Amino acid sequence: MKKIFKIWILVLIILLVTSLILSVWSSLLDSFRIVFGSVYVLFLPGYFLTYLFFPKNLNENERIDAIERIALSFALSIAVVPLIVFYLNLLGMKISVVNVFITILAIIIITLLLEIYKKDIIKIFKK
Amino acid sequence: MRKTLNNTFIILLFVYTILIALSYFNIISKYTLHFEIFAFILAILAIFVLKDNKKIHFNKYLILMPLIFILLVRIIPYINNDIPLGYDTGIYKYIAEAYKENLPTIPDLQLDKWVRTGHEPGLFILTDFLYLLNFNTNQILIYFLIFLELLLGLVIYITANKFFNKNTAIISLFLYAISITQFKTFEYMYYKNILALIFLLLSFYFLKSKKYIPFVITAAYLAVLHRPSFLIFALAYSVYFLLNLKEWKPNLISSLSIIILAFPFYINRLKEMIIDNLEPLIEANIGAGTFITFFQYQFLILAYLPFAFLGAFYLFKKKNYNILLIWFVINFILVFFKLIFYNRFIIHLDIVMIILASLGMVLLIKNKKYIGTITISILLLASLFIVVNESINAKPLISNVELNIIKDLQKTENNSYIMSTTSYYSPWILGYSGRKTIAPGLFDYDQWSKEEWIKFYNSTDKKLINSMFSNYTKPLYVYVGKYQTDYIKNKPCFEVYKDRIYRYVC
Repeated sequence: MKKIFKIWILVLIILLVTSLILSVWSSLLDSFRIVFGSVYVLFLPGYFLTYLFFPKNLNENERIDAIERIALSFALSIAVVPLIVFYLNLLGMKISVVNVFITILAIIIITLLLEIYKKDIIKIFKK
Repeated sequence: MRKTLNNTFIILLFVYTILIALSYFNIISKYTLHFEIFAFILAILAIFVLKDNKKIHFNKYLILMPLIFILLVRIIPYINNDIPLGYDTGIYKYIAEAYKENLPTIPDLQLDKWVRTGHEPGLFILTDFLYLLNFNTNQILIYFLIFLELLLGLVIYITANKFFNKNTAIISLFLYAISITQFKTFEYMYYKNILALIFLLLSFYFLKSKKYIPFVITAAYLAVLHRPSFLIFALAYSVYFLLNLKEWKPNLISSLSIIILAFPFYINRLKEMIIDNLEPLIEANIGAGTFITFFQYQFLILAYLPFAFLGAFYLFKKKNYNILLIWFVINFILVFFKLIFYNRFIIHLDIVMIILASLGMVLLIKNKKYIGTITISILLLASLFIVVNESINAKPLISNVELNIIKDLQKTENNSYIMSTTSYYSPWILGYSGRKTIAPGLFDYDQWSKEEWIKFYNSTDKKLINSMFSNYTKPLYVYVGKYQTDYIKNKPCFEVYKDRIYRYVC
């Protein structure tokens, strides 16, 4: 747990430094939006999804390492977010910063809930 | 007998390595020998000589080296240059900005006909998010593409790891980093193609992992990203389906789910995008796609060609008919027999060749640790030299001065049309002039046939020009670039508006 916490702190520091470097070319607010927004849109949804599809407790053959998780996080985010936003747009949702933010938050929360209740859901289906 | 084969193989491998290195450094001509036949013979010898019974272990931190290299060679062209590389650049800019202008909805009928028929929406929904994050078009065309190139490298790594092992994955990443074909794909800015390759590989990754939900998601996104890449996927998956009939149920459900997920993206464009394209497909008239030819390609991959053959032979020998091998066979047939889109499909073929070649290279290193490492290092270094050279010489197709002149066209009347008289400048005018573009054989506003364009180029007859232009809406300007013949210079009906820009006045 401590190790994961340290990694997240390190990631946060890297993102802050990147934002500060980028602010040389644009405003500080813009650079923060680009860096943290990119992580939120292009990484986080996929990151949580990878835990749903490849949980930590898999056997050694099926388990994925950190590099795989990072690559899959980016790629799954890039695939999932446009697909979901497209369907929501078809249903009438407007594509705006707030709506996209909420949609991604919903993806993350649903994914987390599915991870937590995965065993129970499987039991229900087996019954 | 075995010893003789072994010695022959080692000698030939050394000779091949030295010859390839010499040809890559331009000391001898690459056309001196039929190297592809040489590579084939080497692979046949290797499959008899090399055994898969030893274990090796590469340091996992080795992957940092190719990743840094990928980043460096792709950044070099942008040192002191902020114009995106490639020919399609203006087209991507135009479409991405058209989608942006239609936010908060995804446009469909509002788009030009050529966009609706020729460009899938997948990439441009993604660029909408990037615009929402405050990216500008240049950042999307330059830096986001570099990010995608790195991601493609990582996806090649994880796919090779999933199908084979970590050693093969590491070498695949090295080969991708030094692949001149993949660098050219970046240089030509085949944006959708690069993104599609990521999802083509990922779909196969999830299929191998038997994770059908992410498999369906990635394959569906591939379908809305790039139809040619999806065609390769569909062909390979169909063969896989037939070879694995025991698993028919999840495969059938997945196939149907992919179609259902992708269908709404095309529902309003079905006729233009799919049905209208069936006729040229049936008549084999769909075109080669713009890229290097197979003949050129053979000479670009000589460094890893024998190992790619070896990798493929090895899989056949082991009867390991996985989806990568199926993809390789299908892709090779499409390219070699020039069936459809065969030049562009070289990019896909190269990716699978890289993975197969890394399998062959690992097999060589396992058996002949020192000889294998030395020869492979020489071949990789020679390729690296070529890629660095290409990267240093990679320049945008247009100069800053010319681009600024084109941008100046935004100051013309809002309802004006800009005519390009050559396809070389057409995408740039489309993307950067901010005006409707008339270009030979491209976009929506060209009303002339090829013969009429030729007639226009050669004519100085005022009456004829006047009648030809009667169908076009005015005001109308013509841009004449630095790298083309100035067809307008001595023509009646045109006056100089600004440097390189003429105005139609009749």
